[in-house]
Amino acid sequence: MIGGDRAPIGRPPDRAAAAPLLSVQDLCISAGNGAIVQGVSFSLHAGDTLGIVGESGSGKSLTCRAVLGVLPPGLRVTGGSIRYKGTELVGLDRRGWAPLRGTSISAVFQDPGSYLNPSIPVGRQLAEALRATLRLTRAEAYKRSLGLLRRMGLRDTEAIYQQYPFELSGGMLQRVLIAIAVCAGPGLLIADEPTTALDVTVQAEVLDLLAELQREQGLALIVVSHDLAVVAQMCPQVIVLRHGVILEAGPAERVLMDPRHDYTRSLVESHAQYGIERLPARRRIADTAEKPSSPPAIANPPGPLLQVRGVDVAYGKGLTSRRVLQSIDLTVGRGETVGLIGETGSGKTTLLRAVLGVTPLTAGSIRFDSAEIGTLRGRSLRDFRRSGRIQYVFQDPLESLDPDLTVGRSIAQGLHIRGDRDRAAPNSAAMDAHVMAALEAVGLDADLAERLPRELSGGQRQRAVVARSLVLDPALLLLDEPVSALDAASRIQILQLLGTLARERGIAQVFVSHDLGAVASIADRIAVLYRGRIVEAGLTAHLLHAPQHPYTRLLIGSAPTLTHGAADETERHALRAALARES
Amino acid sequence: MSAMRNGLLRYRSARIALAILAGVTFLAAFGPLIAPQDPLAQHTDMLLRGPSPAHWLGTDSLGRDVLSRLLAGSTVSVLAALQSVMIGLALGVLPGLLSVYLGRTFEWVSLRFVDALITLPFLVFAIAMTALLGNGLIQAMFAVGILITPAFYRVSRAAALSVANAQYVEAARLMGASTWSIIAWHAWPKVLPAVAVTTASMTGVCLAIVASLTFLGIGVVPPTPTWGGVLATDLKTLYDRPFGPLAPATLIISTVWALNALTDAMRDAASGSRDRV
Repeated sequence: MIGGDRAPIGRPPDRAAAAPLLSVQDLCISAGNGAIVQGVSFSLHAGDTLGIVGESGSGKSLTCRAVLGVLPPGLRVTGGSIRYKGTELVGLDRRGWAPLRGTSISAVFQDPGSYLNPSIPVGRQLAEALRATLRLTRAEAYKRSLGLLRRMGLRDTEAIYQQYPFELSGGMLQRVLIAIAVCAGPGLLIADEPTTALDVTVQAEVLDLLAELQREQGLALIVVSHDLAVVAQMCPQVIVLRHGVILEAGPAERVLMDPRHDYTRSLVESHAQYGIERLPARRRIADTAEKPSSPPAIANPPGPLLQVRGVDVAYGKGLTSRRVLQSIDLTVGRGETVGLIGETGSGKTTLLRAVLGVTPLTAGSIRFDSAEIGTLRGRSLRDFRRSGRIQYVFQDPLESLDPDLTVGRSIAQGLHIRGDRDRAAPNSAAMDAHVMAALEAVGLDADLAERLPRELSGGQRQRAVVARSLVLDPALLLLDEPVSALDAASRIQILQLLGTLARERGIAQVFVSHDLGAVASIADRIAVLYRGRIVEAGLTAHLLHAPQHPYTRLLIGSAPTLTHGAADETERHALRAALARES
Repeated sequence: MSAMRNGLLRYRSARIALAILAGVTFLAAFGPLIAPQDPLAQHTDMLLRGPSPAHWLGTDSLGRDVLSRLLAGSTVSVLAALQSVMIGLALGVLPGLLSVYLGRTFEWVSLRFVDALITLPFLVFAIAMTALLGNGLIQAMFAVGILITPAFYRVSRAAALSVANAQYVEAARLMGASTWSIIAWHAWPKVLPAVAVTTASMTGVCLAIVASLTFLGIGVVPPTPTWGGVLATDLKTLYDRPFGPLAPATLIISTVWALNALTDAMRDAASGSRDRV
């Protein structure tokens, strides 16, 4: 039963009558004087899955933390009750929590790496959890750990048991964390943004794993996510939170397909506009594989701005050297937006860094505006950078702005740096005018120039970073996952801003992302990078309609939408097998 | 920095410490002028007297006015401590900052040099220096100044290191910024607060060292009054004037405490302002 007063939907009457496994009634959480979560109610039976959606700060994670009894210091439950199998959890002391947390109620979180001890092999951490909860001997725990790791879909478990967290990928770490969470056979598993930090192809696998475990163990599962499609795929029931209040609750189909509340409607609409929903080829992956379509016609862009030809990049020397990029060819026309998509470690960022002259080339050439820039070093490289023709935008705006400099100073920095060289430094009034113009171009108020980065929202910060690039009047923007660290609303605003810059100022862009939806919504052309090679490139519509390479098909097939889950497992397995054959 | 100073006054210990330090600064500047009597004048008719209207803190074994000697000794004691701190600042901060930016060779050499300095004990080295360069407080405190250099070097290097790989530094490099411009824009503002904290704590350490050295009679020629010297003479006549060491000891202890309290408050204020997001 969700939302307190609502009738149970889609559940046999006998189960609805039974006492729920978890029941949250009128939960209120406060910090000092202000209420942060107000009157949240829901309940779950064994085997149920509940999705909680909402933007950052809506109280979805706090609600979960309250159920786990681990609210951050300064916050406390000021009203309502949380009952698990009839036990009241609000106000329970340490002794009361001991048999519950990690044993009956457990959780997995967004960033798996930060929940594991970096100096202990992951297997030992899993074995410790087993020994603590199930009182096993060392040998039993070891055996059980290997079994669990295998169950999590990991291969070569004996090796993984001995490995440290930094040696494993994000997806593997999340599997280990899930193993730790379910090792004691909990009744309730809370998954708080479990796949947000993962590549879409890995996300599909982790979500499958969670669903399987739930079926096998009869778990009740709470999935918290800002990604509507993930929730739509996983959860029959959904609640929508905003400002700590439940706006809407009910079956996922009803809430997401026919939202009653304006806010939910705007969430769904923005998802549809900038998510992967626009991909008409979504359900026809298998078909396209069978009928060979004409080779993707790449329209020759008028006047190439950036030409990357046969670029190789290798790290290390001699026998230990590793080729990160292999014979990359990429052309960006003036005013054109090229999307570069690929999984973690595919070489996307390395390619951008090669263009910027940070990573030296092993072979090949990079021409910008008909001049070779791949071989620039020392003073000539610095002079080229000071021209400001190519600008780079980082993923996390908070880290790419100096916390002690006002936004205005940060934006003006490039002008100062340029002024160092030609001595014809613009006077401060002219500089201010430039900064103000840049702020206006990105849609920020002029008075924000006096603020520090921490006083801005995530979206405003990323605008400031874009403004810092614009002030130098660039011809090409290199955007490295510029919207991945932002919440849904600011993501859309930044994408719109970038679109405007391309249209109105003719600034060419290379947009790097692992997020197919974001790339599809902004790029004229897309290049797919897989293991250091561009395996497919073409006009956006063409590439999405008729993906050729198995990786591209896997990528498109792995992304869930509001109406369809990800492509099913057998289909993805076939594509993976095809990929394995290629390499 | 102004934000940091405003934040400082939130701490009661910092307010008390600043009040004490203001008093000490006043003593250092005007102590010799406001001394009621000549600190060197010997009144052989009244040796080892207790407090009286004429001599508020009594007289020592040579009949000299203790209050006047303490006031007159302030300047030497405080200036000697500041001298060492200035030397430490001058020799430590910039090399520490540059060790991050000037390449491997400079980094390695300067680190080994600083490691070597850390092994030397303050007092013994200072005494050895006076033996080598002649008995004088300036020589002794010059030696101390060199020995506290590692503290400043380490702190400024750590602060510079913490931003060396920051993304905003890389962003500046990608805009063509030179090393000097990166230091000026990004590293120096981070180094400054850390150095301020170390300066306060090192001033406390140096004051205690000055007091120790002068207590041992090193660096000052006998009639010259200093806090440590007054303490030493008072200790010798403890049997006759049991309360004697109280005044110089209080002066030394409260100044060192004030500097330590200020250090703690500065550190709290700095980290607090960063936490207030």
